[in-house]
Amino acid sequence: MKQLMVLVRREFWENRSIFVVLPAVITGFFLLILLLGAVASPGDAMTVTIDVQSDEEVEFLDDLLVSGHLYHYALMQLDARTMVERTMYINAAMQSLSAPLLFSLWFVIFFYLLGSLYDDRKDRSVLFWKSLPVSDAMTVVSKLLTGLIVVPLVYLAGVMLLQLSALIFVSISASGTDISAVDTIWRPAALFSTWTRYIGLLLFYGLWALPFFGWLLVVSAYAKSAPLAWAAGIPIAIRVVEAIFTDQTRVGDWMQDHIIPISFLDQHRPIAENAFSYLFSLQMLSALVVGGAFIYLAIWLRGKADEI
Amino acid sequence: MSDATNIVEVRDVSKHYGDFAALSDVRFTIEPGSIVGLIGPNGAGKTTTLKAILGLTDFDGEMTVLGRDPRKGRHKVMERVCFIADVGVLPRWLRVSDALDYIEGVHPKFNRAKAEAMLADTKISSRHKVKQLSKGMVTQLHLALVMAIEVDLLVLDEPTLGLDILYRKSFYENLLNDYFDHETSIVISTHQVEEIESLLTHLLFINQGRIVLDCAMDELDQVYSEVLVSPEQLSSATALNPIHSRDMLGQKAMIFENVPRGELAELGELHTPSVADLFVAKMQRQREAS
Repeated sequence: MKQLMVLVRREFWENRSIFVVLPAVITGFFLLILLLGAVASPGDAMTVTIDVQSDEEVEFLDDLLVSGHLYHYALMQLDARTMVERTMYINAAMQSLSAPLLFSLWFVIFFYLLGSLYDDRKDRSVLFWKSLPVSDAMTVVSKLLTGLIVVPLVYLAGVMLLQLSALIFVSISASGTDISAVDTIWRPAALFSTWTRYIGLLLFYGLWALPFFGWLLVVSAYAKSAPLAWAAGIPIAIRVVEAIFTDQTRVGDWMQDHIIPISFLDQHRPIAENAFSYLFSLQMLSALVVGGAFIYLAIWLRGKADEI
Repeated sequence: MSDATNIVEVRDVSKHYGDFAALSDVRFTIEPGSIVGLIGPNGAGKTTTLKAILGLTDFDGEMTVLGRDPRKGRHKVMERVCFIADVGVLPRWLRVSDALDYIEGVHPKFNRAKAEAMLADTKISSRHKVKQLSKGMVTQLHLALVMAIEVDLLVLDEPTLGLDILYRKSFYENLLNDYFDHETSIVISTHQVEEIESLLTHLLFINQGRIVLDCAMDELDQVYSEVLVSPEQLSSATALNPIHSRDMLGQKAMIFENVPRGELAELGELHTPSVADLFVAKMQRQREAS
């Protein structure tokens, strides 16, 4: 366990720029925008509100342009709505705030895993890492743990900070009015359960997309050059071959389902509940089996790995 | 385990890359407390041999390192073996203090205080990243990290390659003075014989994937002799089948293998060949044979 902790720390030393600096910059940038929103005059509002509002609420934005203080306006609008509507709007706003970080996270994990067993062979430092008593299984597991759990939690912390700040800014504008920030914002936002859902979804995606992540590790451990080309090329080739020689797209669809986050879900149902209903499905089982096989293969390949 | 006393047992190990035989039926042993020089020209199979010992590459044949097959459980072997490859295997992004943290976290036999004490004697600061260090300093760092680990076998693959003479000299001085305690064995590969000649207790010459000489340093004089043969003795000397002959100030310096010194003494001035001369002799002989 102690060894695993050190290995995860090692990953952070190597990938500090995409594990720490990038989410900090994104969070800082949107925090700044939220702050600007707190002092913005209506004329500036347009650029700001896009981050706060869902696109379903265009008239909301139009109203805003002729109104006074941004967050105060949002507060008044929410106050005038039912609890269900408040929840909907706030959820939409919260989701928009999370999007830049979670979108970046996907690419960060993708490139991290793809390089995780490749870069050290390229720069020959694999000879150093392998000269220490760390098993290949432990090495691969540390990369998975880092990419699928620790780094998502870092990005999630950024999301939480942004969402919390947004709610606090709106709450501040409630002071001096008779509007209750608790009822109009905090209760419908239900941050705690929102965040629990995020964590649940990230863990769910980690398992659901295990074939994808496992595949990236296999390519990373095997490729002698151009891991990106291998990682993308082979699934695309399989898709094309399947489309040409069989009359169906089952394998291609299966791959796509397990790569693109929540793409397979019915978009009209709540995402988390919808996703969790797949937790004990046959398709999840297939993902775990294929993912597990890829991880096993990656460990085996790592055992053979040499400088390239 | 029949040969548990030996640190390394290599028995008929071969390794092929396609049609190319990197190693052919290599066999040797490394005894506890010995310093073995694995000497051969570039591409002779030195690195492949060492990588096989370290479990970093596959091979055919049998090998035990500290009683284990390095192909299985490399990480177990590495608890008792340390390895320094030629300069530049420490990742450039690694900070010195992080390197200490890392090894402390993964290696049960790492003595951090010892490593820090050794680093204190250098210009390396714990805040430095590897990419900020010169080649020589990177080697110093690696040596400090490795020397603070208490192991049974230290494997050095061309450790001073690309270093200037000052660093090379101090590298081997540190190694011998601060590290070698007659309990740890060391294998050093190099193609620069002179540099390590005085350190060694055993010689292994390797060429074209084959071991061409395997001899303890203190037995060298029993097997190999060099005679400065004067022109008039030339024919009788040649009759004793020297393995190598070269011109030297109007005389011939001939190296003999397994010829009793009593028979050689009358041919001319007799002594034990230097490792460098022996190396040249062996390499040329193999080239002529193949």
